Amino acid sequence: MDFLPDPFPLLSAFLQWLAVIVVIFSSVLLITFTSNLVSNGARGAALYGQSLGQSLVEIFSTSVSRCYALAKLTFTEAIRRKALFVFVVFAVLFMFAGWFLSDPDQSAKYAKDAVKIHVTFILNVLTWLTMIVMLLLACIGIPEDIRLRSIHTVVTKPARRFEIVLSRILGYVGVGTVLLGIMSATSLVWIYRQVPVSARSELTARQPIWGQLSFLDRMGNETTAGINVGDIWDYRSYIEGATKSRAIWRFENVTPAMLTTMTDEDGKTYEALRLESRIEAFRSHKGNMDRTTRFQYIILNPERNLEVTAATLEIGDEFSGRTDGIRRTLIAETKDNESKTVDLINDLVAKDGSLTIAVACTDPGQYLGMARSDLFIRLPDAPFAVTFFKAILGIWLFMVLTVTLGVTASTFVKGPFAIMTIFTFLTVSITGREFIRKLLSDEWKGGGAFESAYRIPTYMNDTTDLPSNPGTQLIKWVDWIMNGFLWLIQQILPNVSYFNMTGYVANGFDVDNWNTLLPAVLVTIGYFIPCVLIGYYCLRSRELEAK
Amino acid sequence: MNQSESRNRKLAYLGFIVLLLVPIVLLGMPGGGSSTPPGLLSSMRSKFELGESDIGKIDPTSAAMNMVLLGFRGIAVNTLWSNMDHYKNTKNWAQMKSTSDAIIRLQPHFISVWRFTSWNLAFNVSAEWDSVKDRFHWVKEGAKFLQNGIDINAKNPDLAWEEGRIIGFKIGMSDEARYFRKFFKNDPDTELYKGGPDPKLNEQGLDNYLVARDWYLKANDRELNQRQRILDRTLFRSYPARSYFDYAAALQKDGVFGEQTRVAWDDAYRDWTTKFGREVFYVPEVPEVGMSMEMTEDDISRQAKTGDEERRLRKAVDDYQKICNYRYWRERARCEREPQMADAHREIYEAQVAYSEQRLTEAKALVESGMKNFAAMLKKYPDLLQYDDLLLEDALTAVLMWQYILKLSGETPSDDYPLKVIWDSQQGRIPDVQARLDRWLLEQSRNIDKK
Amino acid sequence: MSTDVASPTAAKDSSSLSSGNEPVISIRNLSKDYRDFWGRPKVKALKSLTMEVRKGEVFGLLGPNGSGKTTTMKLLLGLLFPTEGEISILGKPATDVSKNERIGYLPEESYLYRFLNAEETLDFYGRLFRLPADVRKQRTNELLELVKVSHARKRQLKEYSKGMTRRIGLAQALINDPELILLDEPTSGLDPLGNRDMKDLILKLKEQGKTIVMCSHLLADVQDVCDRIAILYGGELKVMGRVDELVKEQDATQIRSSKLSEAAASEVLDVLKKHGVTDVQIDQPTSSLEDLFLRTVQESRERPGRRISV
Repeated sequence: MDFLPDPFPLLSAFLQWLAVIVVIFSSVLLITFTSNLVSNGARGAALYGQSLGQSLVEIFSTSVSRCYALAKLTFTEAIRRKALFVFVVFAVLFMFAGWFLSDPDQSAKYAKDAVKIHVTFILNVLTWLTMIVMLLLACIGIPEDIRLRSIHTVVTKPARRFEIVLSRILGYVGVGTVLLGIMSATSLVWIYRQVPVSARSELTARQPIWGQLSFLDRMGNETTAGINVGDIWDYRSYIEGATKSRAIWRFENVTPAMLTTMTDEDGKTYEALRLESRIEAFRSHKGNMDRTTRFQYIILNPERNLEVTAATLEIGDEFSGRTDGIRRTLIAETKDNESKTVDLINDLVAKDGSLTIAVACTDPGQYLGMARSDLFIRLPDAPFAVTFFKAILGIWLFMVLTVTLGVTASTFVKGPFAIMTIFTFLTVSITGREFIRKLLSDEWKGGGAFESAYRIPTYMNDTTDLPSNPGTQLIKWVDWIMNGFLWLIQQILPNVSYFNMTGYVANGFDVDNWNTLLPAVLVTIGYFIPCVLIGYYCLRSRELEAK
Repeated sequence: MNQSESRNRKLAYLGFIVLLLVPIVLLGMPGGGSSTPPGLLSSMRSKFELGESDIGKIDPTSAAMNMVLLGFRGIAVNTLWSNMDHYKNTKNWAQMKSTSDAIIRLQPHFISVWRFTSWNLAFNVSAEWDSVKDRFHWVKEGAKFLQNGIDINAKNPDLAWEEGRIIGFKIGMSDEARYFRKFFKNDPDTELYKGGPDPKLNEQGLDNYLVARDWYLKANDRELNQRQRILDRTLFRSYPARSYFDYAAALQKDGVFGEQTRVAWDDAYRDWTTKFGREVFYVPEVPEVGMSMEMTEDDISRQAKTGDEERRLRKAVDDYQKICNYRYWRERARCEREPQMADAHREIYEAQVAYSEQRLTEAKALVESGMKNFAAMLKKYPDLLQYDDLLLEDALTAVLMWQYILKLSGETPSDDYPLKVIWDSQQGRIPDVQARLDRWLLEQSRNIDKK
Repeated sequence: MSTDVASPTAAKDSSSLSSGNEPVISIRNLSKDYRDFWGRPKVKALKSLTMEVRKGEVFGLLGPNGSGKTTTMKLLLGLLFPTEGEISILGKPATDVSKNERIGYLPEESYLYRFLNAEETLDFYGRLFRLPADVRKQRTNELLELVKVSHARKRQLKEYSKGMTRRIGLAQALINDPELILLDEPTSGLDPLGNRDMKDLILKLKEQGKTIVMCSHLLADVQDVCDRIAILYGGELKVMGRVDELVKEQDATQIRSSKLSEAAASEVLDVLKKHGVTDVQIDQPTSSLEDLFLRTVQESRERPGRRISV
């Protein structure tokens, strides 16, 4: 349930992108200009200027009609090259997936897990299958065209090489769209059929309103985090039971429109604020084992000095969460031990529109762990298909990225090499970004690769300094260069985590538009623009002879 | 000329290939059925039981997956392990479980993986949950997971032993034992199991220790053909009998006294002394002579051929009896199977119940009779006094109970009472025993309130 | 027959004889080295070629395999980049794509998309010229008729024979009604009938005022259709000029007639003898371009690095 995204830093991301682009392009321009100048003198410089001018003219005279023709050609080529064989693989995977995934005698309570497992499986299969198939197609397109020299007939027409690169990408994206469209629609049906009936309610798209979380310690003082009970995962912070310790959420812009009509046990309906929580309990002693740990929702309005205990509840189904309605009409205890009726919206929402909800643990000696995403206002859900297809959109964007990179790489290296390069590039992006970040930060001790290679066989731990001699200097220097290289790689690796929206879908949440979907779109565009230009540059500056 | 050269070279390669193929074909010739004798590889495979079908049940999914992965199984397994660790750390239990399943499909005959993962599920994951029912669910997951391993590795004794440990030890001895033992017979998932046990683990609705005993027996059976790698062999083979002790002791703990418990002790005694006790072990200390736990001095001198052998055999018997706590359990069972001891337990327990229900006169009579019986039995089996053991705690509980009753009815305890010797010698253990008794009484009163 | 070292002026002189006026293609000092992976020159495919092609003429590039014909053509089209020298084609540099609007190119082997059918192929190339749909349709039909493959218009090209592929290749080169047509070995792979059709077509295009550059090693083709030719050997220009002039032997006279009877032949011989002509041969005429070609190749082998004048 750790999918709550950080707000996307739009401006700084854009600036970094711009910086990288400027650095890359200016260095390319500088290098090519210098080499031209060196090899051909002043005439080289003039030729270079002429060719640059030609390039700009070509880019700006791009024709939609030609692009359409070329994209259509790419599409037809892919289809007639039997790209659709992927459906066979897909079908086989599905036929046998049941063997791996289903657990027939699961109790109803754990049937919800089936949703998570099936959805994760499907989205992973779609991601990797599309990526591999599209990578194979995109990387062999242009090299084959050059090898068979069919490209000769195209470039001797008014087709610009820019258009060729662009249209190749568009054509493959078209193929990918068709593949993904069919596979995802099939998958949706398959998920509905595979998930046990009792767990179908988990196939949904929760619309959460997230709050800001802060804590009070056991003395009631404000603090940024609660207690760590010794988990490796420092995601959740814990509050201690039967003390003044609280986890406090502040929800902005709470309006009556957020209220939902709910039904109580007697079948009566009432207006309530629907809260969903996933609170984890940690017992420091056995306590009462007949029930789960208890907690309270306390609604605070400091402006009016109101503190209303809205409900005392049990954790219940830990890790899968519980949904409760906070009634609009609540009973508040005043200081004189009298009770009066308060209205959730009119009396408890602060003037700035915020609502403060505190969670307290009532069992002495027990702890409750919470993170920001563990409590939210749950608005009426959207259909599951909404979040599912948003995740598919994420995969689609990833496919666009794959195709763009693949086509670009194929303009300067041969097919198999392009496939390996881009496959490695993407795999490292998926699995290695965090690793590289840690290598470059001080989080991991022990120095760089060479220093580690020296320390390991000599059993020298990271607290001991290396002996000061020229050898150490050399090691540090080489490591510095290696890290610099790694830093460069880090700058150009895409943050593919945005494309992976599995967390949302598997847990029954709607995909966050602003902090996940938008960044995914921007990352794709961010790679698309320079890649097309690089691809164009490479295709333009090479002789189209198969060698 | 060039062409013929190239052809000659190709022919040479072909010849070489055929030459290399000949030994492979001869070595790898399949056995069984045909008139030709099996090749060396084939006969070695069956000799060392390396064939998939020799090891256990074949899982077609797992075989298919391994084939599809070609040589990349190691990489895949590594990735899965690190994923599983990640899921575990981030408490994503569903995915952790399904990743474990995937790992085991790739390494179905890797015993440590089965042991590690089942332990992980039954002990670590289960402890993460707040509700006892959830904890029980995960203990079951661990046990069920292991059952697959036992089928797939049909000759391995370790896994069957582990299964016994989860079902006996985890269910019977953990903090939640009172709940778990109940759940084992009446699963909390009433929707699925209609109030009965989970048939995968306990088809007949038996006590967990009896089910565990069956697993230990299976482990012992398998151990005769394949070496176990968990414990000293004598200890390993004592587990079926031990389960009987655990069963009998658990009955007492549950407040079940009388004939059923006495019979359980009696069974345990006979199993211990006649089966396990008579089993012959060849231990490294006296490799030439078979040793067994129930050896008398006569047996030892009869078996040993030389004086040195006799000395070593005597020492070995003594050592291994200590390792298995053999003499204690024999003495304890011998004592517990006597009706008088059963009476003592019953009376003390009933006194506790009477006390919590405020029937003081009855309680006093019961506890005093219980103490007398208890003292009598300890006199009969004085050896038991030298063991630091639960039985003595029961004696302390009885004395404490007696003191409580007297206090409540305003009497002063006399200085001379049965079990006084124990009370005086075991002062250090009193706080623990008292705390346990107090908690029991508190829970008891809560239950009464509920009713 | 005399040989002479060629001079630039000689080339200029001979080009002034050509029929057209303004140059459609002008090549100056064009060289091309093929380099290996390390950038070291491996093969000098073309050495300092200077020539012009004028509007409305059919220009033939001749030479044995590997003489630099196709390289020249690819340089003209911007498929290869020159190591040295300048190219102006239709008034633009070779790398300028916009020149392609007015050019039609038939590659050495028809490098077409084998998964498309004939109609799709022409439609696709038509789109690259941004031809409107109706024009594309009309042209497609016309061209398929012209190259005689309209019966197979729906078949994928991978099922085509070599000759048919060649025809579609020609059709795609004409899809934009080009001013300048570059044909690389236009008749290769064609049967005699196809060969004839191709030559007729070239002449027809010439009549329409198109400029055609073709390269070939089949001399009969060249002789039949070309106005001017250049013979390349080893990347060097050896001979260039009008075909009729190049094959004309200044100190010989040829009498041509339909086949003479024995009697008639001896009478003619007698007449010639009367005029003191003794070295008379009577036989069937042979392709004199072939003579020229073989002689050029022969001499180039013996005395490399020289321009041969006729």
